[in-house]
Amino acid sequence: MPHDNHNSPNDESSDLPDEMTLRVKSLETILTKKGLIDPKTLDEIIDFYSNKVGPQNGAYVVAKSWTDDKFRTQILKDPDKVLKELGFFGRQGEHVVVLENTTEVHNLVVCTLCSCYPWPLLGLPPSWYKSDEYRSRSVREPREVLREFGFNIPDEQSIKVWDSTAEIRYLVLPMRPEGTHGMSLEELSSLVTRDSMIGAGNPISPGRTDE
Amino acid sequence: MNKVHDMGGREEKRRIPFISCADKSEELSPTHWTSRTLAITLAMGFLRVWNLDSSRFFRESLPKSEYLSSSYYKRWFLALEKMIENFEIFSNDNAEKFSNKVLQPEEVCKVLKKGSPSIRSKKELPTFSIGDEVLTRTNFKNVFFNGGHTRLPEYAMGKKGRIILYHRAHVYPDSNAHFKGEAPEHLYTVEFSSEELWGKSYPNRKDAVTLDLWEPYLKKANEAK
Repeated sequence: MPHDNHNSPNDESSDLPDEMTLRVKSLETILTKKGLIDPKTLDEIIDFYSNKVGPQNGAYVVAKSWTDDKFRTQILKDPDKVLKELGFFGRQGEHVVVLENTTEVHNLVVCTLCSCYPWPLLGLPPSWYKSDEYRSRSVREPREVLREFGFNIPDEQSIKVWDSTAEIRYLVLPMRPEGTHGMSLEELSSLVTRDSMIGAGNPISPGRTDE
Repeated sequence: MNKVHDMGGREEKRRIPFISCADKSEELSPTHWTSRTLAITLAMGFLRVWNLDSSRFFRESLPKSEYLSSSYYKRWFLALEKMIENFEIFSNDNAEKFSNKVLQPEEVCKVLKKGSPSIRSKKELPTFSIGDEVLTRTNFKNVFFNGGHTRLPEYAMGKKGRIILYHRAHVYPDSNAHFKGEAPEHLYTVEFSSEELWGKSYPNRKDAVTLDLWEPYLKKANEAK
């Protein structure tokens, strides 16, 4: 698909790709020549964030919390200990708080000052999360912002927006969808979307399945 | 006047820019400049010349027009160039100093899974307890460095909130960003009603915003300004 319609500065493909490609390449070359970085290290870092962490980690935590009350209690009480045991610990996820959505309160996560995000649980943040629009508007008009996601929060449910201004990272624990009784952990995990763990959506509702 | 990166509550009419799943720019790629920038930045961090807080300070100190017209990873790249220049990374005296710190491919997984927790011990007890009403400081400025880094956003200055979580003491960015030491301070999550932050016209009485704030950003709610 040609990139021909980019108006937002937050869309990474809107910068002249050739210019940035060249600038980054030349910096990488000189740092390598000076012996300060190893290109194979860079490949490993990219591989780590492509394949070893991602929303599947957070989805496991959510699905497990839906099915295992003891786990749910522990992850709410002492998340860092549980996440270390699961191997879902690390850079940008050293101090985690799990936020439980209820019929009374819906939680939404943002970082207005940069784009802090729980990397070990959700991978790297999506473009919209890093956008100036989301960073500025989500604290002031979260309901309008969520409507743009096609997500309506009823008036009687309050919204709590968590601005990640320190090194605490937040994972939203969405409510379990209806019609999921008896589902396996794997089936439940597949319903947990990345956006639902930021608070910008609901998990997939299984609805009616074909017989 | 708040700094360019301090976006919370800023006048903004544009809709959230969604990128379709078909657009590869959101995905990591072994060769794309955005992914290379991420990886170079992380790898360079392991030389321990600068720290996370100073990196953020360099990003938010980009000229306003440059910051606003650049994508997320372009901001990272421009700040990285500035840090390399500022800390004289290419000076010949430095080459040897760094040689045993360069991050090796086989170490990547281990160090990323280890992270670097910011929690620290502190002898002095926390001033506030969960449930306490607090006021954020008005017109707060970095006391270590003129125009320096701070993590108290302008939209939450001079507002009344309530402590809902206590996280023990953490590295204090205002100090650490400017190499004045980690100077740990007690860290709390403070909840503010949206009406307190945005005024009576805010439509939902029960909505709230929370921020993670270090003790120097706060004072007792009944203390004179």
